[in-house]
Amino acid sequence: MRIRIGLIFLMVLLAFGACNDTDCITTNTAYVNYAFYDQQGRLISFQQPITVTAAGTDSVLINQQTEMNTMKLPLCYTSVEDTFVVHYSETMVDSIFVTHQNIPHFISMDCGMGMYHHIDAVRSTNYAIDSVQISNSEVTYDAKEHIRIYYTNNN
Amino acid sequence: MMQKSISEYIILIIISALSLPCMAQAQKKTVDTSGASQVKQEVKKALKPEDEAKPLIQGLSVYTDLVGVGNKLFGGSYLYGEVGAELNLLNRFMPVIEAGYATCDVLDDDKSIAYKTSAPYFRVGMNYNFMHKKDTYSIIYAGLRYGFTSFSFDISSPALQDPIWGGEVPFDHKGISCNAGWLELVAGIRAQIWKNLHMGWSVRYKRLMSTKDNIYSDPHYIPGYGVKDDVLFGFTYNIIYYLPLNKK
Repeated sequence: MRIRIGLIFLMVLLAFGACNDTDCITTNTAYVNYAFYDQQGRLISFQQPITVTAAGTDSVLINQQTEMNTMKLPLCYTSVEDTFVVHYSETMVDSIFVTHQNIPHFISMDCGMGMYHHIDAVRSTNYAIDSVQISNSEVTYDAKEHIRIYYTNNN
Repeated sequence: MMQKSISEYIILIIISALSLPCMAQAQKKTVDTSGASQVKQEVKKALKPEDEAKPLIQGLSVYTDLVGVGNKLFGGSYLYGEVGAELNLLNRFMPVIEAGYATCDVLDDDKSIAYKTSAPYFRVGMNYNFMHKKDTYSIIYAGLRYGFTSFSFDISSPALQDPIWGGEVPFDHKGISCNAGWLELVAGIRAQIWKNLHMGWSVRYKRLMSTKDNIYSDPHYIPGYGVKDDVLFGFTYNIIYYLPLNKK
């Protein structure tokens, strides 16, 4: 009887068990994940090179990248609206405007601090972009899609 | 006296039910099978001496855990004091309540993050004595606890630097309210030191069941549970005063 109870206790103990490793993100920046769609809602990829810059800085966030169907961009820690310029060519550009809140967040003593965001609104110019839409407004370290960019079909 | 006779009656009923098959066999061999006195005699035969007239309440113990104080003395960041009370039922089942007060004041040298909290915590649960057949309080036991606490904490860190746009965001939050609940599986031993004084240790496997997170910070340290993680192991070193109440 005692052995049986001991075994039950051990089994419960093992059932409770779980692997637990501390995996930290190397930077404290949480990125907004964008995905490209056509007007029918199908995921598309750009064959031509795309460059993305952050307005108001000289930072090039994405440089001449090809075959893109998603991209990830940071948000400013101190402002509430950021403008990103998507360069399809020298003269063809679209701008994406993201309104957001900034949430500094303690993750753990091992991993330190991170900056999370909440996306309030998104809009864009319509050179090649048909519309933009928020699919997940909470920006943390997960890999969820946050913003959908719908392109017109003639691109 | 009243309680004693009730417990005797309950035990008699349970043992009667458990020993029905034995009694049925015994009755086949008995010539006269009628009458309540016959059944009573058979029940008495079926009763083991250890269970016979065993009082429900065998004793009461109070104890303290010294690990929390020891941790601080040896340079740890966490200090807690804890007391518990345990009722010994039939020397087998031991319902427990535990209460403590924990403080944490930690500054991470590497990242300069400061975290501070202090709050009471509580646990309720039950131990099972594997040595219940022996009339002693030197025991091996296993048990289950549910712990809970409600607390607030302060946290601060150096300002976050924006790597793209530049600029920085300060981080200093005080009085973030939080609560947490967790389960603990316990296994331990106790041994008599002198008269009613015992000492013991236990290992505890803790699993966080719920916690109230805040948009700015999850708690780093949860009073009574430890540094926040889904699963933790803990250790207690107890000094116990046991008061036997089973004097016949």
